Amino acid sequence: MINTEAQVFCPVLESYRGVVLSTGVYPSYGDISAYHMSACAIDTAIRNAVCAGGSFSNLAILDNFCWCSSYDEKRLFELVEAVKACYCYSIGYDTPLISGKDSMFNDFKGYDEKGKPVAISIPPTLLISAIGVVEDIRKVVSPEFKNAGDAIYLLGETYDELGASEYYKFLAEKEGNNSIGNNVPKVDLKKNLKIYSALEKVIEKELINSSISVASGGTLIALAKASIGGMIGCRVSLKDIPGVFSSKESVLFSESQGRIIVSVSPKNISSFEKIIGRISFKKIGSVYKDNKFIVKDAKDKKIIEKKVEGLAKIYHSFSDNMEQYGT
Amino acid sequence: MEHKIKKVKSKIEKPRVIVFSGYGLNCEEETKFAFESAGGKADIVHINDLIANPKILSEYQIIALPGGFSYGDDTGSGKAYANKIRNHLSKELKEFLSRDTLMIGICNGFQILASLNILPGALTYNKNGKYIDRWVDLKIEGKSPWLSNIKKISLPIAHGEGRYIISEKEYKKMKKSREIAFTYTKGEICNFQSLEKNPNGAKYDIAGVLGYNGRVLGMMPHPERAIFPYHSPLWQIKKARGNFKKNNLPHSKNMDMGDGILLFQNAVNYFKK
Repeated sequence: MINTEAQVFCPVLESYRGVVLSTGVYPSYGDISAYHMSACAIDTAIRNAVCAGGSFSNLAILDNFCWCSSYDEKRLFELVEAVKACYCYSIGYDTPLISGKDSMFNDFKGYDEKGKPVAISIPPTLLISAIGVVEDIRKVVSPEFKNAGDAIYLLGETYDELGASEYYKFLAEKEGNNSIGNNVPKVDLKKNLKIYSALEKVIEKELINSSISVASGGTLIALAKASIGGMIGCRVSLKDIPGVFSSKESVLFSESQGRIIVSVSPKNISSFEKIIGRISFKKIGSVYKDNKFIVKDAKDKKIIEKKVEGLAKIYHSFSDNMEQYGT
Repeated sequence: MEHKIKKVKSKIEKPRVIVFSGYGLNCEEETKFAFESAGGKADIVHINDLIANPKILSEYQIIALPGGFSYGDDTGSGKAYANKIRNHLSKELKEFLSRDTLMIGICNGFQILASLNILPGALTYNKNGKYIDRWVDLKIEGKSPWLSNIKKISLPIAHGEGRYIISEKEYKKMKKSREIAFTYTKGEICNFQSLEKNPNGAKYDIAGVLGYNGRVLGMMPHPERAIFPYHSPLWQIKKARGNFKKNNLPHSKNMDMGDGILLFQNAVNYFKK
């Protein structure tokens, strides 16, 4: 079992029409760029919806500003940048902002335990939700791998965009500093629109068995989640994946936008590749019956071999540890 | 306890179902939809409207007490709604049960039937004190028109007070007369989602019980939430593996029906024999 990035509801019992809901949020990206944080939130919310079966013919977004006071010049600049991104990408994707919420003064001014004045503000954060109507819920696709023998594909391009990534934040915490990098992911609207449109088409034609959006944690985390969700193994090599990158960490953990991992039944491969031929993609491996999760890096060198049960235990350890607080 | 009833000889083409509503019950729409997809005619009636006109109960073949949070579970799930029934509809309910009719209590409805002593035992807080929302695997153990031709079934649960309690003496009696409807078992849901079979600590793994010779069924799981194959957590995997079971029923308007519909179909067909 894994958490999914999108949820599908079927509210009218007599109908197969449904509603898909998803979100995108990157609080840490704002430490580097409020513009790109907002762009990525929009791109991810849309990508998550399309991954499940959403369609650009019926997709809208909502903006939730969780902000601190913008009376400070620098903060005001960040706010304007975020709104600029909302304008740019909602128009670019033709996804109207139909509603939203603003909470604009999440600041605290008081005293610490020693009586010294203290001021704390939240990092400005934009949460984007996406909502769409799916015409036939029987066609929606869940993120986990399903069948041994299915081919695994990575759609989209990978770049050196580890700035404020989960991986860099993890390293910074280990080293006890704030060094979270500089190259926050940027959204290539035209390129991503092509990728998402191709994904929409292959889902409409029921050519794929699973699709998971690559977001927080990057490619390796998305692969792990897909395996844990299906409790099934895979053999993957990230050699020759599309994009431009200079470090092996980028290949594994970069949070470049516009990427999806799908699994395809062998009988659908030819029809599938015909449709995605116009975008950047690479067949990176296969789903395996044994429960072994094995991934090789860009140099085709094995960097992880672990049983899916072990990965599932790690994934669930957060909520399992919460059990002790409930009783 | 033996409940002697007069066997009705006439066939009923479209059995009538009364689905109770009001004061926080909230599953009536899906429950009505399930009965009608199975070929019945279901009316959602607010308990106050029924109390104002209690004679209408004699026009129905099936009573359904659906799920929900009646009275906000104040003083315990189902207790207040059961009191309202006890105080205003006892006579009509007794008359209903004396005819060859069927009754089902789902989740909150089961709690209401247990509080009314129409079914034995009691339902209390889940063993870990938390509301649980997941699917379970069930083994059919009981003899009942509701359960004809079903051996196992997977259904969703969503409850905070689903732990069934019964004395050992009463349990032995019920087991002998096949009045234990379902027990929690380890099946495809538990295996796929790595879940324990009994979600709430119910004694003897009891998920549902029967009364009145199997005509009354009380169950914690929600069959009306499993009437489409797409409700199951396994549907995507089954779709990908091509072993998707669809029950096409004449009344279901060409929609694919899931396993949950079988209980409703059994109830409707009981009156067609």
